[in-house]
Amino acid sequence: MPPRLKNFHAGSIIYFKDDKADFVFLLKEGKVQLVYNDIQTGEEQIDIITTGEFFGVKSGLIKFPREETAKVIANSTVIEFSSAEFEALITKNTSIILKMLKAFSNQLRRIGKQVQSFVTNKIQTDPESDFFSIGEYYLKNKKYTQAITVYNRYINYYPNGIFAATAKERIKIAQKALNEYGDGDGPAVNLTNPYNAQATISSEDSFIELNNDDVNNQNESFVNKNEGNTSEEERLYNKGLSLMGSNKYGEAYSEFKKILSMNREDIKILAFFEMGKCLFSLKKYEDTIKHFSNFLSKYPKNSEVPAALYYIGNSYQSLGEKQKAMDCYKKVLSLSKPNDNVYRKAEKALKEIK
Amino acid sequence: MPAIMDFGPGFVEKFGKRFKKNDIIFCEFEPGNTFYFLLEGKVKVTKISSDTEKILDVLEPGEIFGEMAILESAPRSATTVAIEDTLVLEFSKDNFETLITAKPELAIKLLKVFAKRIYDQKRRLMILTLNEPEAKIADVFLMLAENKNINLSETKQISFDITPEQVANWCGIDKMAATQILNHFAKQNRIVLKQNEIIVTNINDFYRLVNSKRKIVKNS
Repeated sequence: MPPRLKNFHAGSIIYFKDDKADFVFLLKEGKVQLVYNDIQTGEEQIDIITTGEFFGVKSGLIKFPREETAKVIANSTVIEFSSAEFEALITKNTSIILKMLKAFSNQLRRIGKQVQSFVTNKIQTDPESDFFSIGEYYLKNKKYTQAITVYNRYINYYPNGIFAATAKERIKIAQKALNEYGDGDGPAVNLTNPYNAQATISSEDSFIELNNDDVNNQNESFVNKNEGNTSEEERLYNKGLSLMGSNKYGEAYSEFKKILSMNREDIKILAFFEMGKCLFSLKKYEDTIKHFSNFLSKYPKNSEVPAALYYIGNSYQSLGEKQKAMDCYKKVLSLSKPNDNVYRKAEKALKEIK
Repeated sequence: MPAIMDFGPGFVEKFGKRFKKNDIIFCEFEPGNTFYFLLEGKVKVTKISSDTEKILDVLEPGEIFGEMAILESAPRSATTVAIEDTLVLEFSKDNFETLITAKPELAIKLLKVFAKRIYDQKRRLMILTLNEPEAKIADVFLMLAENKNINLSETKQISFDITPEQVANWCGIDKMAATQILNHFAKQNRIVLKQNEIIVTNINDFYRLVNSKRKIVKNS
C-alpha cells in the first residue's frame, strides 16, 4: 500500500492524544494544530503545522501513544505514511534524518535540563575523582585488568591530575597482583588513601580568619571521650586542631595527613574532615571541593555530611559558581535540622546569594 | 529492524573495534565523544554505587549505546563492559554525517533511540512535577507498570525489581525521605517491601492517588 492522500474538513480531528500511533503525516494543503498540555504548568499549548511539514513523527516512528491531538483548522489535505513507508522515505532522503536528529536532540536537551532542575538532591561531585574511584573499586575487588584500564585512561585524560602519581602506583600494584594471582584472585588489596600522594601544602600560603565556632567544641568532646589513653593519632589530631586555632592551616593539614596512614579509623575520618577545612581556610577552593566530595563518597552516612556540603557550597560561591553553591546549600537544609549550626549558616548564605 | 544490518567489510574495517571478554569499552565519569553500534557479542551496562556494581542492562547485537555523547560533552553516565568477545562500530560527531549517508538505517535507529528517550524523560518529568513526595513515589510505580505494558484495569498486584534507593532516584527525593514514605506505605499494606523487590498490592490505588494530585496541579 503506497502513501495515501486524505482530506479532512475544518473542525475534524486527525488523531487524539493517547491514540496508538501507526502513521506519520505530511501536510500538503490547509492548516492543522497540535494541541497538548505543558507538563510543568498544565497549560494548553498549540503548535501550528504549516504546509510541507511532517507531524506525528516521533510517536509514529516508534508506535507510541500520541502526545498531542491533531486538530484540522481549515479544510486540509494530508499524505498518510505507515511507519514502514515513512522509514523507506527518509532512508532515501538523509537530509530529513539529519533535521529530525537535530530536532530530537534539541528536545532531549531541553527536557533534560527541566528534569535536572528538579533533581536538586544530586550532589555535584567532581568527575575526575569519581573516575579515579572507579579504578579503586575494580582494584579493591581484584578486577586487576579493568583497574589497569581505568587508571591508564585516567592518566591519559588527566596527566597532571591530583591522582596521576597515585594512579601510576596503583597500576604497579594491579600488574603485580595480576601476574601473581590472576584476575579475581589474591589477598585483599590494601590501598593507601589517595590523598597521601598529594603535594604538601606550604605553610607560607595566605591565611584567612577561621570562621568556625565548632572547632573547639569538637576538640573538647573528643578529648573527653578518650581521657587517659592518648594514642599517637589523638596526639596528632589535637596538635592539628591547635594549629588550626592559631591559623596555621598548612601545618595543621600536614599533621592531619599523617593520621591517614595510621590505624584508628574513627580519628582518620575526623582528620580527613579537618583537612578539608584547612584547604578551605587556605582559599584552595577547588581542592576543597575535591576533598569534601571525596569525603561524601567515602562516608555518605557520617554526621558531618551537611557540614562537608556546606564547605563545598561555600567554595563554589567563592569561585563564582552561584547555581552550584545554591544547590549545595539547599541540600544542606534538607539534611540538617533548623537548630543545627550548619543549617543556619546555609540559610544565611542562601539569603545572601540571592 | 532486521537482526543485524549488512555492513560491507570496508565499513567494519573503518569503524570496527574489537573488545575481549571483560574489557571496558567506556567507564562511568570518563569524558567521551563517541557512540557505538554493537555488531557481535554482548555488553553489560553497569554503575557502581555504595561500593557495589549494579548491572543496569545487557545489550545485544543491533543495539546502540553511548549515544548521548553526540548531544553533549558530559562525562559518561555508566560503564560498559564486554561480557564476551565483542565487535562494535565506533562513531564520533565528526564522522557522523558520513555515517548517515552511508547507513541511513543506522541513523534511523538512532532517531528511534532518541524518540524513546524523549518519551521516557517526559514521563519522568511528570513524576517530578507532582507536588507531594507520596504521589511522586506512587507515580514511579505507575511508570514502571507502563514500561512493563501492564494493563492497569486488569491487574492489581504487581512486583517490581527495584530498591528504595532507585525509587528515590527516579523521583528526585532524598533516599531517607523515600524510605520513610515506602515504610509508611508498607504499614498501610499498600506495598510489600522485600530485598531488591517491591510489591504493589493494588496498582489502581496508586493510579487514583496520582490522578487526583495531577488534576490539582493542572487547575492551579
